[in-house]
Amino acid sequence: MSNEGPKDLPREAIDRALDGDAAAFRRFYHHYDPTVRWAVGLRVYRWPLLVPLFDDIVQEVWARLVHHDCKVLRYYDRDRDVPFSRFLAFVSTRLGWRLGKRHLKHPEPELFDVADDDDWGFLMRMLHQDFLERLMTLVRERLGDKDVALFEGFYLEGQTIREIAVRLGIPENTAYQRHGRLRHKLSALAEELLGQRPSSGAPELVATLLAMVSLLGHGGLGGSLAPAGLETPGVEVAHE
Amino acid sequence: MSEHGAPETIAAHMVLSESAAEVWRRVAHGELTLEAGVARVIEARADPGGVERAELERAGQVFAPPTAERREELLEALLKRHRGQEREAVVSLAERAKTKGASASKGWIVGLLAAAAVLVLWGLPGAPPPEPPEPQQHALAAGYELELAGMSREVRGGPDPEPQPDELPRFDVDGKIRVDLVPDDDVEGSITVVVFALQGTKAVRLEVEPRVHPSGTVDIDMPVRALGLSEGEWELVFAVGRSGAVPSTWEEISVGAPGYELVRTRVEIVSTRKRG
Repeated sequence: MSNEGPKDLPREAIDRALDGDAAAFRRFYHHYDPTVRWAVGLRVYRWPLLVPLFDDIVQEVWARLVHHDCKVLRYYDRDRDVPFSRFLAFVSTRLGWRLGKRHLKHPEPELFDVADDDDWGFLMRMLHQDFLERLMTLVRERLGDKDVALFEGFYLEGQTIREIAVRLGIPENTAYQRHGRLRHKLSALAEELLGQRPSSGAPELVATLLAMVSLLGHGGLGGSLAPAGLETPGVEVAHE
Repeated sequence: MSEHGAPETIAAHMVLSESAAEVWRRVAHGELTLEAGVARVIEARADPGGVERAELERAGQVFAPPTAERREELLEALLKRHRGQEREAVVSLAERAKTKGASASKGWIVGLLAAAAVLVLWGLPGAPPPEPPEPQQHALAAGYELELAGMSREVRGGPDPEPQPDELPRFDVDGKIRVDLVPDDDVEGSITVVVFALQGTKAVRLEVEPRVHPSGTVDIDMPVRALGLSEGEWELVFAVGRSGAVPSTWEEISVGAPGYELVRTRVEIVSTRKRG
């Protein structure tokens, strides 16, 4: 992520906020709410049906962030040299995506209780330096066109597996199976990379990333990477 | 680690790293005005004509920072919920979005100004800037609550009319659905209601025949089929408020608008005939 957020609050101020100091939390909220709203907004504004409910969804994300004494936020590991605001943006946009899909009654995301979810610790491991860029490069190298289309349709454009199956011209059941394999494949790639020492600098990786982005093209306003024909379907508004 | 972590994190990285995302980040943080942000997004596209106006308007609604009062109001709501409901962290979307007073009015004005900025930058000839509303004229803070009746006992599996905590209220597709919208206190003046049913990516306006009582209570008692609801899960959204302020289409709905309140509930429509 190249975006630079605002300067983080001092470490002690964040700790006090997460530990329940009321004044510290108020400061924390006012400082980081723009980051949360931005990260959730990047998901919500692609779904016309959810835009009027944006404040509700942001509140829902905040409620999950502070649940169980801010358990999710405590997965942040400052020793990994990643800004807290970056970690917060990742957590918020993932929650926003999950909650948005659930609200739209998409059947696929398994929204397990966040308190039992160890994905946030895994996320912290993945945020190291240029790890994600290298992972994206691997994704591009090792995934076929249909897998890339499935990934973008489901995880970026917010389509259901059923919609993607129709667009790809494959049976729905096949699309579900392919999605399962895709998840497994991506997890394996991530684990494979996590087993390696992250490189530093690596300008060639940045170049590869840019080339990948260019190859995938910009299909939507926000620079969506969906290929032609995989645009987000608009909301059908019917008056009966 | 679950297998969700990797793909969701890669997708988050891609979404947060887009060039437009940086523009919207600066707008959301107040470093860039919405007008400037929209202009930059349009300029950055190789084909500016390919930028959809509707998408820009949605971005304006989402990324324009709330007023300080509105943000404080949201913080208070979060703290109140956190103190009182630590056992249940999920803020249900079925919860009524309740915003009152001046801050809500300001929020509406900000939203309109944001939309105006988008229209101006879009270069629509003759697109008139929206007139700022007069919030007090239509302000409504009635605290409407929703009560459902007519749920199917048979499909809930027994005579006990009390649903389980996680169970959606179920209605027989061949039966009736009764809804009461009850204000905290009596409401003077004319009240109207518009009802939308949401399912997947579909928003349907329901043609209802509400009865509005002098107290401001609204009741709707209609056959499920007459409403156009088919079997499946639906979210019902009731926009109840001052006549003239209640929007007629889903696209016009705005959380926090001063002239009406939103009350939501989820229901399941089932057929008992199939099971019998």
